[in-house]
Amino acid sequence: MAADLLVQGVTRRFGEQLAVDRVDLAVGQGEFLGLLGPSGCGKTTLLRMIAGFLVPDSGRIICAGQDITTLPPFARNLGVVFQNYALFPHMTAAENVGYGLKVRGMARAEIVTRVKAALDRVNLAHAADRLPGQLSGGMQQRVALARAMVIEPRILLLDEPLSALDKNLREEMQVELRLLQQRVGITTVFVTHDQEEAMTLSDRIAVMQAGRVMQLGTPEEVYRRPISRFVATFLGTTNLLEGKAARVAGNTVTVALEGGAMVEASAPVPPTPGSPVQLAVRPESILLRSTPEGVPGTVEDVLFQGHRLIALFRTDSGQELRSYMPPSGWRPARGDRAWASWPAAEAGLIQA
Amino acid sequence: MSDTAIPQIRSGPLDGLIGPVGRAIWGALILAICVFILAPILVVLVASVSRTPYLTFPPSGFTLRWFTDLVELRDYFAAFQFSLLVAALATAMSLAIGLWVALVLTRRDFPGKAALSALFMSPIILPELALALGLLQYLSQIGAVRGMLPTLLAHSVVCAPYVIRTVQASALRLDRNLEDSALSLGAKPARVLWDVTLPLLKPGLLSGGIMAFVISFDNVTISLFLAAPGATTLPALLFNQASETGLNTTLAAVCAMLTAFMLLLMLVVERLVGLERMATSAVAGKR
Repeated sequence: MAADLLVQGVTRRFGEQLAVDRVDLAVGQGEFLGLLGPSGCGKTTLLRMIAGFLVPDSGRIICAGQDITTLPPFARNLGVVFQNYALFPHMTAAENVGYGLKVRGMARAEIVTRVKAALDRVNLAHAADRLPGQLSGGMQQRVALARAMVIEPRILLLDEPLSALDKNLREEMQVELRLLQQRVGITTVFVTHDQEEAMTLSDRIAVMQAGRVMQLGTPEEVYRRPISRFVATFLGTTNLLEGKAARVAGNTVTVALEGGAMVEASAPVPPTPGSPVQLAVRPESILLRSTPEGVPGTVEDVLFQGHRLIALFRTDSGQELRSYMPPSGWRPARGDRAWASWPAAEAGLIQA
Repeated sequence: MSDTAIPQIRSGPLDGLIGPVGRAIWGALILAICVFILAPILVVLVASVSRTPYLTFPPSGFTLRWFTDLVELRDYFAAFQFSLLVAALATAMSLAIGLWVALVLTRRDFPGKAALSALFMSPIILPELALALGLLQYLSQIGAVRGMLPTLLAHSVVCAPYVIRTVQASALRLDRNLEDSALSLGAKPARVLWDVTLPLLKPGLLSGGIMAFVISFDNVTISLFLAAPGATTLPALLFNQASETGLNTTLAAVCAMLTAFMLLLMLVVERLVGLERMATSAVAGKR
């Protein structure tokens, strides 16, 4: 995979505050990379440095082989879409989309043709002459996208572009955005605090916290096998089980859980044998059975949610587990003895 | 009359506090204030058609000759032209200075910013007389005592704070992402200023510019101190004439014409800015 965008050791402070701390990223040609994290984690600061609105204190940003670390934003040829769309309120949709072409000194006729094509691509040809104030949120969003893409940017940078939309429209726009990005094949960096959105859209996700990238991987990797407690809990509900690394063979680790059960897990960076570890297992991966296989315990309660059951389970060593089960099949009842198990590939190994 | 007046008073701040008698007194008080404000202007307008060369009220007889005596009015026309020129140039300078200072004050953070901000506002608060005296002294030190340029500079000092205030208000509301968007689309900073920043600061620039023009055009104190032969503003000339020759009817006629000019100007401005405001609020209202 040829890297289209390289971020190398980029650091940025605001006064005493370390906003971005030695971040390394390599984004491949045509890749959709999600920067995911809570507010204040540095994801927007990182995006603004890639866009050129901020200069890093140290580190380098390389785009298509060119060092752009200190290049002003107008010389970078990147497409940026902001959370509030930032459409020019005194220009029509068509003038907004055509602005980047106009400042490049393109001939009028050529601009008209390209703007029309760009608005067509986002199904907004009919709204070309309207002012942003006369457009709905979703339409403004699409104009902003068309404006960013019509200049044929090297990279598309999106700063929470969907978070101002209501839930239904957001889901619709997620699909539309993903399809558009795939069709054009443009390298995209996308900032969001919404883990579902990040997983839906991204080829890979960089989960950030306190200015650092905590984990970088495909949505499945970071969701199913988180390598830190933060990533595990930030990406949704999870079960954390205490244990010890009993045996290490390559990337496969045998973990002795509290209470004595032995389970296998894989870790990208294996722990030293004997060190304390945690296993993160999603509730939907935990299977409760009435046959003695796995970790023994007692069913404390079962909640019916329509499309699934939530079983609350306590292991004999006292750890609480939560399991999502289909409503069909064996249904545990309160007070039942049961055994919890999960596929080894569904456990993330967290080192203290 | 009472049908329209009473609902206004009912919805006012004194609602429920005063009875019908109190309300009548309140209405009379408001009427008295209006009369008090408008009466002097009306007196001058009415007196300007008197046949007598000195100012009397009520006027005796009717004539328009004070308005048509071009020889007598020649100096006033020259002063009027000078006033217009000074006001226009002072407005232009205030807009340039005000825009720059307002943008720096809203966007940059530096030690002493609050003190600097207060300093820029001080010409509004400080006595104009002190400012005029100080300027006269200061200008005589650098060898340019009176005339066009000193008057223009002094007027700009007094007018710029108004522009700073109004542009600052507009600049605070301006979304910085708009300028960042323009930059990322390939526009260089000067182009961004012209295409995005200035159009969006237009309400502040317009209202600040109008205030600057009116304040410069109306100013007596500073103009009086810095006036020179051939470089005297109309208000300064009127003041001089009134104190030297007493109140004559020509003064009233000039005041009447000046009032008419200002009303016309405000009408034009209302047309322009009124329409402007409608256009911007139509955009802002639907966001």
